[in-house]
Amino acid sequence: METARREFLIASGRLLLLTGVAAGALDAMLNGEEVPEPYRAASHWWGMTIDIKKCIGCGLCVKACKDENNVLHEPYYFRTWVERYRVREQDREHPLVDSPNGGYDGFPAIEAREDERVFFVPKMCNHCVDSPCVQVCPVGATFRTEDGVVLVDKSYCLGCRYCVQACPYGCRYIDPRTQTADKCTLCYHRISKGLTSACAEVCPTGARQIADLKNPADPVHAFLRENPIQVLKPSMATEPKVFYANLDSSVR
Amino acid sequence: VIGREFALRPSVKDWLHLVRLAGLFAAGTVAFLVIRPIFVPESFGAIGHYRAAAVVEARERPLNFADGTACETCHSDVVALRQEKHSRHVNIRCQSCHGPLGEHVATSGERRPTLPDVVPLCARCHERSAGRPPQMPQVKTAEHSGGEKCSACHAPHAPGMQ
Repeated sequence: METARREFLIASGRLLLLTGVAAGALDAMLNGEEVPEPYRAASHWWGMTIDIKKCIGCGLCVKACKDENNVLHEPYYFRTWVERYRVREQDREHPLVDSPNGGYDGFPAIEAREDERVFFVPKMCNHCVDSPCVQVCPVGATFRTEDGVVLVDKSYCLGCRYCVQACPYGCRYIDPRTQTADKCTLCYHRISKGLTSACAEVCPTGARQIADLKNPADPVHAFLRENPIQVLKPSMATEPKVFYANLDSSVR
Repeated sequence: VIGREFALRPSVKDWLHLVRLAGLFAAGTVAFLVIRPIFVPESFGAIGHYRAAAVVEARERPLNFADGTACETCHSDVVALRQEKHSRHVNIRCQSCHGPLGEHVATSGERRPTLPDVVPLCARCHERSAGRPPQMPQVKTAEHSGGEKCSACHAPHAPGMQ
């Protein structure tokens, strides 16, 4: 009796499962459209590549980031910003750096002196694998997701500012509207839908690219292989995932 | 002698100490079990030391910039024009200049974006300045156009001279 019931339950369970699968397949066949696959975090590992040679300092990424993520338009609140470096031959370790309004309106034109090199460096959250900001959060309001994106849970953040202090890259700020920490999300709401981030979407030269390091078909692998690659502050052992090509060693 | 007497005849009162302790411990445990779910949010710890629901919330935020491939469905003429004229702007995404068009796409074109202010927009990339590659077309706008709008001579979608 007991066995029969057990067998019946197993058989009916299997039948239910089969009909479900068959119905799904039939539906897809009839409607001629793919059933949207749910986003699987475990099969992605997100990062970004930035080619310094391609960046022309237009600042469209800074503007797009604020538009996409409703970042405050006052200066000093940035999820991404662009710095202009002027490196002089005789003092390579002390470059002149400016970033008027984070590069939001572009940069005022300058003429380079003969002994200097000028280039632009877009900066943002590095989505570190061993992120100091995650380690110091006392409540678990900031964390690295399974797919390698460092996020802030704004409904749970206390606004204690430890993470702002801990980030070696200065990528975090306190949003005065909510009194919680805020930073780049790598446009998680876009990349998890198969889109690119707002900054990469608008970049006219393709200097910024979203990279899925777990996707073997992603051009990031060729990019990392074929370019001289650096990350910012490697000595901090944070394992950043924003990879800069052709970066000058004077950049901090 | 008094101490010896005490050790040999434990009274009921002494056992009460242990009962009190056990009672306190039980009350503490109950209080912990009751209070903990109030302070620990739902789904906390399901994946890691954070609210698992926060990841889903971050994914479901609305877009302001549309999917860049959506423009082609209605504006194929512009896409075709850029290709026909071998436009140097052929690879530039629509929203780079036109701004966020998420609402425009979501309302099937009902919400119209405002046209960008061309002179500062063009100058962002084309104002002659150090740090830009030499092959990149650059001008000193003040000398180049004498205050005339860029679009008076250059069509933004195919910016060679008209």
